[in-house]
Amino acid sequence: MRELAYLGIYLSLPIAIYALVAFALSLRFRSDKFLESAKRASTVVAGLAVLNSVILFLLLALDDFSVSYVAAYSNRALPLLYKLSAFWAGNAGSLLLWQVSLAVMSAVVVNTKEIADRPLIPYVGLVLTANTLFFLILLAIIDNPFALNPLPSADGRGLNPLLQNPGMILHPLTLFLGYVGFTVPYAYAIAALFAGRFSDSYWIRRTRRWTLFSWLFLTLGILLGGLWAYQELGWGGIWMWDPVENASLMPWLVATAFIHSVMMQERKKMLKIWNVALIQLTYLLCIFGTFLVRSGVLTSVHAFGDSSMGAFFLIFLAAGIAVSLYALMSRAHLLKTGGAQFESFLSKESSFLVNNLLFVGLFFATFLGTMFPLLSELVTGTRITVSTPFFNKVNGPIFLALFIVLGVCPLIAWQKSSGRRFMRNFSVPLGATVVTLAILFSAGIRNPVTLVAFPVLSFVFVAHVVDVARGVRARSGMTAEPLLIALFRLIVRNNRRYGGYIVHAGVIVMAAGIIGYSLYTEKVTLTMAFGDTVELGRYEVTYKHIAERSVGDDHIVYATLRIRKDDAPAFELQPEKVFYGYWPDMPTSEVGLYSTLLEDFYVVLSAWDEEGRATFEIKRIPLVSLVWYGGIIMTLGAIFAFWRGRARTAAPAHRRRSERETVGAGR
Amino acid sequence: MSARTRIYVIFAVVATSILILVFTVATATSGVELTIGDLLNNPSAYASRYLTLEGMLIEDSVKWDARLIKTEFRIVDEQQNELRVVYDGVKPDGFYEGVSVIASGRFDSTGPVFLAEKIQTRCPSKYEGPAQSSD
Repeated sequence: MRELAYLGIYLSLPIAIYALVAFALSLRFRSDKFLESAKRASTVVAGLAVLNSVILFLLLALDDFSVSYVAAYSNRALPLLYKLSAFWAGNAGSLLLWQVSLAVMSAVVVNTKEIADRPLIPYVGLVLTANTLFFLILLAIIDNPFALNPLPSADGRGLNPLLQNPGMILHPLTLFLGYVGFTVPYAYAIAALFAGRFSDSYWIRRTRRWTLFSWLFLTLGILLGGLWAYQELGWGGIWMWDPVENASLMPWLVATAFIHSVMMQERKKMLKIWNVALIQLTYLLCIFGTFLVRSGVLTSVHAFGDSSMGAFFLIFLAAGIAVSLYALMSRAHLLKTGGAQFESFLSKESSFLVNNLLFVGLFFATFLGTMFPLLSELVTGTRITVSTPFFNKVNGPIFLALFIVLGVCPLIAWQKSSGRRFMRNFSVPLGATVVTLAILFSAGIRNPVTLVAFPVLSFVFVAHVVDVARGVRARSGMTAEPLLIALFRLIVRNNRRYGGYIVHAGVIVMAAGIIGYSLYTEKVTLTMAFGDTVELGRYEVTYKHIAERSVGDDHIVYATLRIRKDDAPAFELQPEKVFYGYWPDMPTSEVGLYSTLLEDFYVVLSAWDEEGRATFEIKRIPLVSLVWYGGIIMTLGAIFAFWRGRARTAAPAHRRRSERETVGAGR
Repeated sequence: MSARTRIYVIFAVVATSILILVFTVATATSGVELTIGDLLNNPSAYASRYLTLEGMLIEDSVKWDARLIKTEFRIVDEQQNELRVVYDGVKPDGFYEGVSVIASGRFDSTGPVFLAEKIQTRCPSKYEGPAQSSD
C-alpha cells in the first residue's frame, strides 16, 4: 500500500505536466480535443490524489510504522480520531492535504457543464494545474509522506499532546480549504483578463460562491486557531500577532475587502481594477502565508523551518506575482471601460471605496509589522521587531474607522445623499450611540478605548436594525403582508444581503468580546498552601488539595480549587498537568475553566512541591465567550448568504389598492 | 472641487494617515532581535533597548522560586555563548533539555543577566506543532 502511494506521487507528476501542456495547446490550436484530454488528465490527477490520501489515512489507522511519517506523528495509544488527524500534523501530510484539495477542486472546476465558461476553461485549467504541479513537485522532491522509515520501530513517536484537541483536528483542514479555495476565483480572474471577457462581471458571478466558501473556511480556521490557543496553551490569550497567525489574517483581510468590493462591480460596474488586484493579492498572500510558515525566515513559536522548501516557495511566489502583474497591466485598458462614476463623497459607492482602503491599510500594517525584522535587516543590518503593542496601536484605530464605515454604509444612499436625508437616517443610530456612552460613563467606565468602541458598536448595530426595519416597512407597504411575514420573506428572499448583515452582527459581538478581554482581564499568580484563600475581583478562591492519578501510561497531577463569586453557590475547578507516557519531556496543562456569558474564570496549575504547596495562575477574563459566539454567528450568516435561496422574482408582488383595503379590513 | 477630486483627496488622506500611524508607532514600540553572541560582544549598544533573543535551554540550570514566582535559567546559542535569564513568572511547560527558548526583555550588563518580560518555547525540530508562551 505504501509503495503504491509513494509511486502514485511520482506518477501524478507527468500526468499533471501533460494536463498543463494540453491546456496550453488547446489554446494555441483552439482545439476541443486537447481541452477534453486536459480535463481527463486533471480528473486522473485528482483521482490519484484522493487514492493517496485514503492510503495515508489507512496507514495511520493501521499503525503502519514502517512509514516514516506515521512513526513521526502517531503511536499505538493514540485515539483513532487523532491518528487520522495526524494526516496534517506534519509538513509532508499537510502538503498532501493542500495538493488533494487543489486537485479535486481543479477537476470539478474544469469539468464544469457551464457552456458560458468554455473560453475561460483553458486559462483556468492552466492556473489550477500549475498550482497542483507545484505541490506535487514539493511532495516528490522534498517531502514524500510515504517515505520509508529507515529505523524499524514497533511504535511511533506520537502526536504532540498540544495537538490533541478537537479544535486542532479541524484548524489545519479548514484553513487549507480556505487557502486552496481562493485559487479558483483567482484562476477565473486571470482567465477573464486573458480571454478578453472582462467587460462584464461574469467571472465574479461565477465564482461568488467559491469566494464565499473559501472565506467561510478561512474565517473558521482562524477562529479555531484562537480557540485552541485559549484552551490549550495556558496563557489565557487568543491571539498574539505571531508571524504565522498574521500569515492567515492577511489573506483574510484582503479577501473580506474583495467580497465587499465585488458588490460594486456587480451593481455599478465600478472598482474593476480594485477587484482584480484584490483577488490576486488574496491568492498570493495564501501562498506567501504558507511560505512564511514553512521556511523559517521569521522567528515564531509556530515556525517549522526547512529552508530548502522556502526557496521553492519564493520562486513560485515570484512567478505568481509576475503572471498576476502582467495580466493586470496588459489588460488594464479593458477594465477601464463602462462603469459608473463617483458622484459624491456622501454615497454608498464612496463608502465601499473607503472600506477597500481601510482593509488594505490593515493588511499593509500587518504585513509591515510581520516583515519588519526581515526588511529592517535588509536595510540596516539589524533585525528590528515589533510585537503586540504595535499591532494594537495601529490596527486598533483602523478597525475603529472600519466599524464607523460599517455603520454608515447601510443607511447612506447610492450616488448622492443630501445632508438632510443623511441626518434623518442617522438620528436613531446616533441616539443609540449617545445613550450607550451615557450608560458607560455613569457606570464609572473611564477607559477611553471602551468609551469610544462600545458606542460605535451600538451605532453599527442600530444602523443595521434601522435598515432592516426600512426594508420591512417598504415590503409590507407594497404587499400588505403583516410585518413579521414581511420580515421573514424579506430576509429569505435576499439571503445574500441579510446573510451579510448576520455576519456583521457576529463581528460586532466578537469585537465586544475582544475589547472586553483585552482591556479588562485580571490576573494573579501566587503559591498557596492547603486552605489558603485568595481574592480576585468578586471571586474567592480556596486551594483545597492536590493529588495524582494514572490513566494508562499517562500520569496526571491535579489540584482542586473551590471558587465562590459573591453569594452564588461555590463551584470547583480542577486544573491539571498531564505527563503523557510517550511524551515525557513536556507536560501539558489542562486549564480549569468556568465559562459564563459575561466572563471566564481561568486557572492553570503551574508548579507544586512535596509539601503540597502549589503555584497557580488565576485569571478573570471578561466577555471572552462573546468572541466564540460572535464567530458562530458569523459562520451562520455566511452559510445563509451562501445558500442559493428561493427563486427570486424581480420585486415583491404589488397588491392592487382594492385588494389591500380588503385585506386590511379582514385583519 | 468636483466630486472626483474629493474622492482622490479622501484616498490620499486615508492612505497618508495610515502610513504616518504605522511609522510613528513602529519607531516607538520596536525592539531588536539578535543573537546572544551579538549581545555579549557589544552590550552597551543595547543597554536600554527591548531585545529578543533565542537560545537552547540548559535544563540543569533551571531554578524556580515558588515564593517569589521567579524562574531563572541559562540558554546557549549555536556559537556556545551562554546567557543567564531571569523571568518574573512561572516556569513554562515546554522547558526541557534542548528546547528553543525565545526570550524578550532587557539586558542588565551588571549581572550580566537578561531580564525577560516574555518567554516562549518552541520545538527545534521540524513541524512539531506550536508550543507555549507566557506573558
